[in-house]
Amino acid sequence: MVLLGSAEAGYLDLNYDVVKNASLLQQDGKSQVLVMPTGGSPARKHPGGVVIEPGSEDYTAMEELVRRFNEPTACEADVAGTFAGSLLLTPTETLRKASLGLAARLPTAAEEAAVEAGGDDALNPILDKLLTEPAFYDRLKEMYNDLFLTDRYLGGNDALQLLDGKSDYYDPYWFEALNGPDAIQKYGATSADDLYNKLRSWTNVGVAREPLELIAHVVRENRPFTEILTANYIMVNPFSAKSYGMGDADVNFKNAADPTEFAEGHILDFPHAGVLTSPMFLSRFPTTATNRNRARARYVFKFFLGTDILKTAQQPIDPTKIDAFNPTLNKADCTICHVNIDPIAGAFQSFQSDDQIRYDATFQWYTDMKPPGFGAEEMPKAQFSTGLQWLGTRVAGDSRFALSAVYAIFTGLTGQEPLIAPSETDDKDFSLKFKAYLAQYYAFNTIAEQFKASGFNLKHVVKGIVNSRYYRAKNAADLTAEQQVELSEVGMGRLLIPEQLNRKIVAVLGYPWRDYKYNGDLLLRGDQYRMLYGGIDSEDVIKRVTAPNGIMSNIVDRMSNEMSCVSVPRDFQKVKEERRLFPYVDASESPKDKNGYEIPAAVESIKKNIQHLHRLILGERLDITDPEIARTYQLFLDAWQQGQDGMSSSDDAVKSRYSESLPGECQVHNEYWSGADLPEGEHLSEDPNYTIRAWMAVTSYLLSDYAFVYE
Amino acid sequence: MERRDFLKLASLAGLGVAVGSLPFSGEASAEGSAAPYDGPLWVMVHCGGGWDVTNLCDPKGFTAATAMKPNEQMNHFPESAIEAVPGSASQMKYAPEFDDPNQNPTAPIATDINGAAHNKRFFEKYYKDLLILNGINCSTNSHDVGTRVNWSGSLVENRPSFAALVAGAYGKDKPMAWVVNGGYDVANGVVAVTRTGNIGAIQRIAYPELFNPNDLDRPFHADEVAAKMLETRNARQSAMLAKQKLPRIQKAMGTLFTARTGQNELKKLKVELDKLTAANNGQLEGGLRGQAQIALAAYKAGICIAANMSPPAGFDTHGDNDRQQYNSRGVLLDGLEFLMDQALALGVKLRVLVSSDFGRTPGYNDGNGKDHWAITSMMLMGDGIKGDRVIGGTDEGHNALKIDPVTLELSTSGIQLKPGHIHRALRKLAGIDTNPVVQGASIKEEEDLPLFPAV
Repeated sequence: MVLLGSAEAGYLDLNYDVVKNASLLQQDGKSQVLVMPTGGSPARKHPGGVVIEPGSEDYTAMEELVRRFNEPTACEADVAGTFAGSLLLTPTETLRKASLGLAARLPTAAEEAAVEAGGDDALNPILDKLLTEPAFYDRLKEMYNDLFLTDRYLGGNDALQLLDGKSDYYDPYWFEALNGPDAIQKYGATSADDLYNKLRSWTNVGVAREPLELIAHVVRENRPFTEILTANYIMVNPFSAKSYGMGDADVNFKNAADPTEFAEGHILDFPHAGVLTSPMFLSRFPTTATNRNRARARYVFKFFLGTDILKTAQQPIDPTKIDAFNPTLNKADCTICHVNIDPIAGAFQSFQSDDQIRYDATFQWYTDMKPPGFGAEEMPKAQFSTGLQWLGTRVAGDSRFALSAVYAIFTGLTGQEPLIAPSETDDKDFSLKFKAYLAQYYAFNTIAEQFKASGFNLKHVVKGIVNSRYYRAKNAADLTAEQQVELSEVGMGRLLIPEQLNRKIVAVLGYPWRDYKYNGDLLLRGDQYRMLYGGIDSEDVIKRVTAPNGIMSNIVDRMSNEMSCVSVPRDFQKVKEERRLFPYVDASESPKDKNGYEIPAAVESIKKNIQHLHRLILGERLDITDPEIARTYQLFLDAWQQGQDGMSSSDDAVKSRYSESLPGECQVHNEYWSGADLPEGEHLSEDPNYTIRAWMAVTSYLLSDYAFVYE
Repeated sequence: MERRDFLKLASLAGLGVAVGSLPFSGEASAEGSAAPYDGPLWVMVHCGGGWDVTNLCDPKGFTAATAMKPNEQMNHFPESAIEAVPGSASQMKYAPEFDDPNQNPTAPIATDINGAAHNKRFFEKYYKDLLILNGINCSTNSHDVGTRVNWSGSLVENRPSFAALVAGAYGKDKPMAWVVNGGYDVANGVVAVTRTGNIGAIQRIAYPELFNPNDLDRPFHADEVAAKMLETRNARQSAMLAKQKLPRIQKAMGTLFTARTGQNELKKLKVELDKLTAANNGQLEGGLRGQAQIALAAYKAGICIAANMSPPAGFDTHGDNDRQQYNSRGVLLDGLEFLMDQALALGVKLRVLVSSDFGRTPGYNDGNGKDHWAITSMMLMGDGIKGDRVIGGTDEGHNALKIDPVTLELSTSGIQLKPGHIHRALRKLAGIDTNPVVQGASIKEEEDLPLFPAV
């Protein structure tokens, strides 16, 4: 009887079945699990002798176990109690978090009104809509790239060179023959060089993005997510299709000049099995002559079976004892992993080390390994040449597949890894930690079951996580020490990854964070802040930083300063009705008159706008009398007063720091996106009341807040 | 926010989870941490993939019995070719290197980018500083687990790296307390992980309040206004933290607020980087050398306690072992030499640890590669580490030999050297063995080995 560790997805249920089946086997009319530990029967002695004495406490527990197997009672695990005391986001707050997180936008007024009126019941239909928007598919691809890391090949011709010479059908550089004026015109290029660069880039992206586009395609079309392992096609754009040797008539594109359009294509004489046969996936997880596809098998376990197979090798091994002939086949220390890995490795046999992605149906697999297969099932020899199609069907049918999708989406949406069952039983908090683990285990199992029941529609997993406590818990009542342990990993508190923060900045302010308008976004550029802000390059840096350091907190401060400089004056430059940030005040509205007396109407407008900014930037719905409104108002007032004092100072040194003009970088002379000069009368250069700069201070303050950079 | 204020705030909020590891004992102290750090810079150099120590610091050659059996040879050079460091009291040995090790073991010794064989140059230059620990049994041949046990001392998941512990103990609030360039980067909440990037970006980040980091007179907000903003932010942080009860969110807030406590100290980094790169048009060197420069600059700025460095992960040599190990080793030893030389020139007190996931199997596979092997070595050098010593050992088949836990001599009745033993000793050397940071990061091995006698 071999029990599994928690590295295996769903291990408690799997172990339950193992023990139950063992207990049902009888020896001399008694359950085997009672007979063997007590020494066995005369007919079959226990090789390990007496382990448990009859009548002992352990024996009594075993008897009770057997009794319960024989007389099962419905007994729900009390995991709800684990969450007692936690306080959830309201439906409206959840809507904002999900809209920004899934669709890179703020909720519309209509959506907010619907959820305010209908609560959670109104939330799910809106979530359904969010999950059809293009931005969601960008996010989905981002989440799966964190696993597949195939964006490593996005640059230059990195993906194309992987195809070079790997099949008689492939023609990765098909575009090199194109340089005539017709082609230049057809593809909107400005010169032959421009044409070459465009076609190379579009083709390379098409090839590099193929496995992630498959994920997006399957979900977008509401197909069973199992298709990512069974798809008998590859995703291509009009340009990568040619690289795979597909003709214009082979793939149905709506617009054959659109590099962003992906469709299903078939490579000639190629047994597609979704991601498993993806040239990019196979390249990203290469093999060697001696590794024999075992690393690839490991990633099948990790990505599609929710199982870290290497953790089964976590127990101490003694290399001096590994003296058997072919230990991976014959020595228990090794077979514990290899018995699972090697059969799957065998399924990859048609994709071997020399070329990684070349399909070779004739390769003779090794005879000194466990035969190709999956679990206990051996692959029929007739299937060897299409082994990954055979494997894909089996992995997709395995109960762990659904959990692996739950794990991937959970980590993508919350930034957290699934909990690991505690292993140190002498830890005083062991049972509390195990209870926390159990609560998550059941929560994930429930989502996985809903996923299966939906026909493996991944959107059900996304909604399941969004509706879970792990996504929505925002606070708690006073917790006991025990509850603090149980709830230690429950709730929000995810530092936004650079891509998310970048999208949030645009969604909230309407402008991207760039050094120059035509340059790329600073948080996405590898040579700027992407890596420094904890992002990945899918090549050398493949793990995200989840907690901020000094550099990252300074990046937040620079962002908040630069973006307030960009967005605040530009907002004031617009007419009030078109403003996003300041719909309730004008730059001419000061909180006090020249004699220092408060102007009640102006103060009211300013506070109302502060209330609006808290909601827009931080998602906080505060009453106008809330202390946070008062705090922010005081900042506005202090900054404004400082400006008044500075501008009127008799000290030239002070006065020079309090000009009546905005800093040059923040002045508005042109339309942001087009760059077109504005009429002189519409320029915004001056700030004689110091109100714009006071609002810039307020906006910087809010943009650098915890609630903006965390979700 | 000042560190003292944050501690007070965290304490009021019952923020044990986030700051429970702040230093209050051992060599480390809360007060000491507020000042620029001037203890040794701890550098962990990780050779990702599993290095072959038998052609480095625990050399093994082929014997008469295996002379005609290439796949059974420990290496494709004879035992007799193993080099001894001239003048070494410990009779330190290193592996020879050949231009074409797979084909012709008698070919001339290879030369690297500095014009000499990697091993010969390195060992003969640094043997007086080097402590070599051979025959370490890391009890696993899994990459992840091996990396973890060698850098944390434990096989158990999520254990913080030694670098995280020492950085957490001496400078949790430093903005670059632990600079990480690959390797084992698990902190488990003890300290923040910091990555580095291009200099221009770092300069702008060092001065987030300025339009241009080279123009100190042009801030986004007037100084007095900026002070009000900071004051308001700190007050709001306190209020939010006081209201928050979920441990996970408390921890998240605590981490951000802690990261902000050392913001101004980043400015010192710009100054040091400017100095360090002045001779190279303000540019960093590439690869491991550049990693060393950032770590040294951050240390000189008083904001860095520990750094991870890692050459490209070229040590997982299941095929063509000798050539690939040779190339990767060249990068490694060049980077180490650069680090040591620069540290010496800058007057930086340095402690360097070099390790890997594990070792590589005795003998070659059919692809002339070597697979995973649980026996490995560690090389240590620097301030407070007595050099010209080799502790532990392996037999001709690279099986670990036992050592006497008191004398550290080889002894058949002794114990196997495990990473846990080394980490027990390292924690003592660093003065953090009783610090709160090590709570929850226990080590299974119980023997205290005198690996680091007073120098």
